[in-house]
Amino acid sequence: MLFDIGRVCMKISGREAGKTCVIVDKKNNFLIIDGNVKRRACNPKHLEPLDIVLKIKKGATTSEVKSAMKKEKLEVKDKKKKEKKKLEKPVKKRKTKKSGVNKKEEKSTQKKTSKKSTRKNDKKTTKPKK
Amino acid sequence: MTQKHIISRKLRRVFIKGPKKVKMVFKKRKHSKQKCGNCGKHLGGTIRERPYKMRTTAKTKKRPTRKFGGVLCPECTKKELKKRIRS
Ligand SMILES: [Zn+2]
Repeated sequence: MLFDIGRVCMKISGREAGKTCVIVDKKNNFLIIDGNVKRRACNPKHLEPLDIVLKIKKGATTSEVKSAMKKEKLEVKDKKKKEKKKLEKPVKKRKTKKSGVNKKEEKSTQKKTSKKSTRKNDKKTTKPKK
Repeated sequence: MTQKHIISRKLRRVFIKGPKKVKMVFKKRKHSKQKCGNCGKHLGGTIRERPYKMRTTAKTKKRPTRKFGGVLCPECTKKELKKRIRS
């Protein structure tokens, strides 16, 4: 039949519209889907069947479904886990900057302050004359 | 004489309540509602504001996160996706 177990479909409505999924189980009038979408019960009106059928058991897990999809050469999206390294790097940089650049900063700030002070003094001196 | 650009109703009139009297202020009008590119129906989940306010609001609050969100209505997206599958 159209909506048998193992049928590959595309979601048409909702936030996950345009993503491929596989039918895993049946529940009353709803279908349970998995794959590139979150595992959930779905109305068959929100699905459009494709002409591919995968060989999986009833109630298969997400890892089993994704491995079966890779054998059929369908696109599978996995979550990336590289965010932790990015958080650590800037903390190290800040420590090095504070320890190494402190002396240079002090000199530069002294020069800047001296220049600014002279400019301000010039302006202050010029204004009251007018 | 009142000014000509006020007579033409180009600007919107807003009445602001003060402590003693009501003050009239002129403001620019908003743009029209956004429509579906296929059938011309009004789109839900979109806002109409002046550009200074659109700049500060988040992108997720300006249109639905669906595919073709903010361009096509949900019924036209169904037709469009079915067309792409069957071709
Ligand atoms: Zn439409």
